[in-house]
Amino acid sequence: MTELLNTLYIQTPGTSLHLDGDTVRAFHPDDDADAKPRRVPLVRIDHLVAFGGVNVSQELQLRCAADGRSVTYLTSNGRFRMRTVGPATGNPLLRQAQHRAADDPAHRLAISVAMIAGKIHNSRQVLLRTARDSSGFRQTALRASAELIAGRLELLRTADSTGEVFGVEGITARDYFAALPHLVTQAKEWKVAGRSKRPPTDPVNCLLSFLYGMLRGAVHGALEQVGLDPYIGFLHGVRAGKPALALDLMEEFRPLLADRLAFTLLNRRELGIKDFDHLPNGAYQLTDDGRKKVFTAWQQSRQRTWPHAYLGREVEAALLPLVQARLLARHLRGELAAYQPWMVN
Amino acid sequence: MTPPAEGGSGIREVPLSALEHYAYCQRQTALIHVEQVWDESAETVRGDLSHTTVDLPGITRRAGVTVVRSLPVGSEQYGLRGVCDVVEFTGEVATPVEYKVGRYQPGGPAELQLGGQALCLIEAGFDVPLGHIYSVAERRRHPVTIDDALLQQVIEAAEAVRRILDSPTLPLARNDKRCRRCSLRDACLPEATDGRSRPLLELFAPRPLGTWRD
Ligand code: SF4
Repeated sequence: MTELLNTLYIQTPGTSLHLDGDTVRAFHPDDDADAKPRRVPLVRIDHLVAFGGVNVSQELQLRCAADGRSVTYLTSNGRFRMRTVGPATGNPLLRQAQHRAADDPAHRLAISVAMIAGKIHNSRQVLLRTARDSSGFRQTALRASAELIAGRLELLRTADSTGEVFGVEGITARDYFAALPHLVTQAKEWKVAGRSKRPPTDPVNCLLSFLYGMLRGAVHGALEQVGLDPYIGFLHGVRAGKPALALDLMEEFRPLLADRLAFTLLNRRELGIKDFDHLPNGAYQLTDDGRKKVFTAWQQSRQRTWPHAYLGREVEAALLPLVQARLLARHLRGELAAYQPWMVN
Repeated sequence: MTPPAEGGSGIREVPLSALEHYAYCQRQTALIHVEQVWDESAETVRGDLSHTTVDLPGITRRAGVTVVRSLPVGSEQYGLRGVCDVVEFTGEVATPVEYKVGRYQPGGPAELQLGGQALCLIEAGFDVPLGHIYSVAERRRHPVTIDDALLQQVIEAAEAVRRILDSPTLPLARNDKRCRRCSLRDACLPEATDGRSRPLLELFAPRPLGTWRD
């Protein structure tokens, strides 16, 4: 069984990371000279994420590459900059199969439909669960949204192009985010209207964007680990520099792995308004402290398990992207009749 | 992990480690050597071992015995290639020692790998009457007699592995009790790949609220 390993996030600018035997050692010029050096054994880490201003020694990068660990570099706002991986892994036959599927409209359609069906299903679960735990108007509104979304599955059934699937996805996302004020209990405090992305103009959307970034990193890494090409997608069109397959595969994870976590953090007031900076252009950004809280919550949420309707067993959140990337690989290699999205039950 | 390659003789070379995987499960052989699934636990353990017990490549001599660590070996005739953890040379006699993390299993997969090393050393001109499997868990050596039966088994297994490496499809998953202890289980998904068809998900019917915990 793949051991559940941790991702090491380093965000304090000025920190440098070094290889020290079989450990990562963190150093910062402001460190107390007498304090114990901060070390993490490499065997406990599967992935290293360095935010802006963090320096990773070449020796450590080489060791990570040799062991099959990736190192991802993000800006301090969580934007992707680069990622280092070891020698290419995976089977060229798998990549060929992926490219053939991406060139075949019917095959693209079938895989896209499955992924979006998974997303719609999991979105409904978020709405239904929140409805169950609320009352009155809020409950009625959430149930109505869930109903609305259920109806979209019919459109998906009859979709005959990826364009149409994209359309269904768009409408469903709109319906779902229209319920945002009911999903976040203190919505009034935060003036949440719906989904706003570039830049996020309220804390809820800021948090969602941040968590999607984390999720995208996890999915991208899982695809690479399995030997799939993250840039050749089925639903999202292929465009230079756009990890289309990572975006495709992310869809089914968003509602439960990112949205639900965001709502929980806000509803339990584990994150407050002081964890966000309100910038002069109206945008919101997590403070260093806020980001730290989100990392901790994200890391904890990765340890829990979720039921998997197709496999009929529980799977750790951290392994879900890997398991789904593998189900996709198995399908493309002809071992599974259809791609089976992750559906919670 | 060493990917299979063409040897000088033109036949596809079989990594010695693949013999051991093959003895455990045919699909595992293909996952590691064709799909290049990275076996985290195995690789990590190997790394740990090389740092402590087996140490870096090197040669030591004592009282007529030359001990070589991390010795690359190969067989042109049978298309084998690999690295021996430790080989002790005394005159014309070579004794391979293979390090294993777990307990020794008589007749287990490790013996096949040891037999493969012996085959390579024999082709290099040495006598190999005996090998050892060192169990790190038990901290002791277990002698294994290298006889014709074992060597024959190795030759047949190498042929079978070559067929797996050349096939564009993977062998079916076993989905039996062996899978529970298998480190590749998450990569293999034996529940879904054992060739018995599971019902596929109904994608378009709304599903009732699940029992997932929060
Ligand atoms: S999980 Fe089972 S079938 Fe798959 S490689 Fe392991 S032992 Fe073989």
